[in-house]
Amino acid sequence: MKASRDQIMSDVLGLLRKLSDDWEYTGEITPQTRFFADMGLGSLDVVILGTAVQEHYKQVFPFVELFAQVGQRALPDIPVGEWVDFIHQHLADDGAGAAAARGAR
Amino acid sequence: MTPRRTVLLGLDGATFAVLDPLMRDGVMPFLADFVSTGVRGDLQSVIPALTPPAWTSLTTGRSPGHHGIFDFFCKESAESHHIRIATARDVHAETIWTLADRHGLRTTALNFPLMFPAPRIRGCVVPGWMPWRQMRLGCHPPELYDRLKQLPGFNARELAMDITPEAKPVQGMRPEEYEEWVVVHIRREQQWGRILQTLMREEPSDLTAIVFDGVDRIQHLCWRYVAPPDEPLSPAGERIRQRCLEYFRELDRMLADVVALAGPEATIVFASDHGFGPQTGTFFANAWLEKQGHLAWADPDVPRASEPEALGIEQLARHSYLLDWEKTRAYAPTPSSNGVHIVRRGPEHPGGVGDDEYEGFRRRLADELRGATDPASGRRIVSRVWTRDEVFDGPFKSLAADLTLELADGGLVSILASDAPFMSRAETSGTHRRNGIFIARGPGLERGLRLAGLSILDVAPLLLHSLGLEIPAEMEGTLPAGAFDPASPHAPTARPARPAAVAHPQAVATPVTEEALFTREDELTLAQRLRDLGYID
Repeated sequence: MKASRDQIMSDVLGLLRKLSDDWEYTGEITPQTRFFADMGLGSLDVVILGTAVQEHYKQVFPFVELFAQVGQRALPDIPVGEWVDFIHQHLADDGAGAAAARGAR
Repeated sequence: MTPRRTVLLGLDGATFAVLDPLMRDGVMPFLADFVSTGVRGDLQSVIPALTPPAWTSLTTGRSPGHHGIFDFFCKESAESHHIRIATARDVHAETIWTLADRHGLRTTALNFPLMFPAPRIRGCVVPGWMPWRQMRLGCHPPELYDRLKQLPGFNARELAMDITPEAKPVQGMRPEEYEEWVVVHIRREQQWGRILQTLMREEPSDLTAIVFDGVDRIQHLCWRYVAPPDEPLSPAGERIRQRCLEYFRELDRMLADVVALAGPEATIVFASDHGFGPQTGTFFANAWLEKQGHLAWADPDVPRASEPEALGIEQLARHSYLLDWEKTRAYAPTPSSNGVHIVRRGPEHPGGVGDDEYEGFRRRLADELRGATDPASGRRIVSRVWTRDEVFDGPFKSLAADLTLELADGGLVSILASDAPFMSRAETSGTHRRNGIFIARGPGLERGLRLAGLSILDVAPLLLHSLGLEIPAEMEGTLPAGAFDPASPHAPTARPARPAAVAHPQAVATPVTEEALFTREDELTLAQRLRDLGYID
């Protein structure tokens, strides 16, 4: 069984909150927090985060498609919640992701 | 054989063309002494002579077709025109780090490219080419980053690839900014030096390795000041040169400290991933392909470059929708590796080159490229063209460019549209050459010897020999037995021969402005952040 959306949200928020201490970002990070406008990340930061997610769940995600879609918007940005939804949607239903998620908690 | 403490000191882009005068003139006295008591030689890099494939070849002993890294970026598949940033997961050959770990040895590896995600080995890893906000994610073990933060003078923005200073060479700088930029790199190397020495003292490894990459960055921007000047510099130019010399003096002091810390019984190897030389112009490869009728832009009014320094770094990945894929048959996807890819016919590319016409098309295109001339001077632009089959072997060669170019000035291509396929630069900058450096000293190695014919693929076997490990049969490089005193007990027992089936990469001069890959982030607006990767207009 693959990790639930809540599990993924918990993992992602935990990761971002830990990293944001290094960025000296003092705002609250919630599912509505946007990567670029709120946290001030750059595109390479998001690529690295995507790689970390892939490493965590031992699976390749089509993040390039997500970026392409986001890039067509009037305000191109990615809220944390949308990032989590994307991961949840594409997470393989083979138990590997679930195991990784459990191991990380 | 008992493992000896082994230290690899990488100097990205270092060339004897610069180091020899600096050693002779007393700017780098430690290195001068080291060279006189060790083995030195030119180190032939791979094709393309570019940081990611070259360091990966040095640390795997395999050529790009075998390890799979040809650029900072990789194609999603051989048929795809989509590219993405390459990571450690794209390295398909065993590295000296994991090999040492499998034999129970400990490694410290700092600032090498393609090390994220970091290998979970005995020892410490801080990958290179990480954005500063994500450095914690790259460190192994995970708690290492908190230790680094406690070091005096720690500044993640300067230690990592912070964008603002790295973008400056591309955007243009005033002379006074050049000086400041060099000073930033002095501080940056000091930070890496502190980390290295701290780890060497507190938890010494069997294999310790680091890349100091300021040499490359400074030479890209300041080549005309770093290289021995042909004519007297202006007062402003002389000030910049003095700052550059200060960088090399500081580097020399740091190297002396590290080598002293390693101890007299250690094997010390200096190596660079490629050499350096001047670049005087820019070849707009896609603009030239358009004029030849091989490429079409989706929008005929696509913006045209007007500056020779505009290489199109910020356009990376955007070619996927900037080009008309029904009409384009050849294109250059990146300005980093001077590769031209031929579009093969398929569902995504109905107008591509069919299997039956591929060989003929590739041959004609190579001939056309060899004949390309600068209309202003009448000089040829391209000095050599290699087919994929000529220079790459191995299971991943299908990901390589169909044609790889060496430009007459050793420079790199621009991928932008332009009315003029070639533009001369107002000021000479620096760019990659194939001849890097090799200097080594340690038990069993000759003293004061110049060695010829060294390949970057030979470094991994030498390091493994020093560590007392067997050299895997699949490694394409060979132990440079000529570097050893035959009477020494540390010399290899039999002089190994290079495998007959393995040809060394033949030649290249494919430079890149690596510093430009992460451009302008801090100045970008919200939309520009995605534009940086080419996902939006």
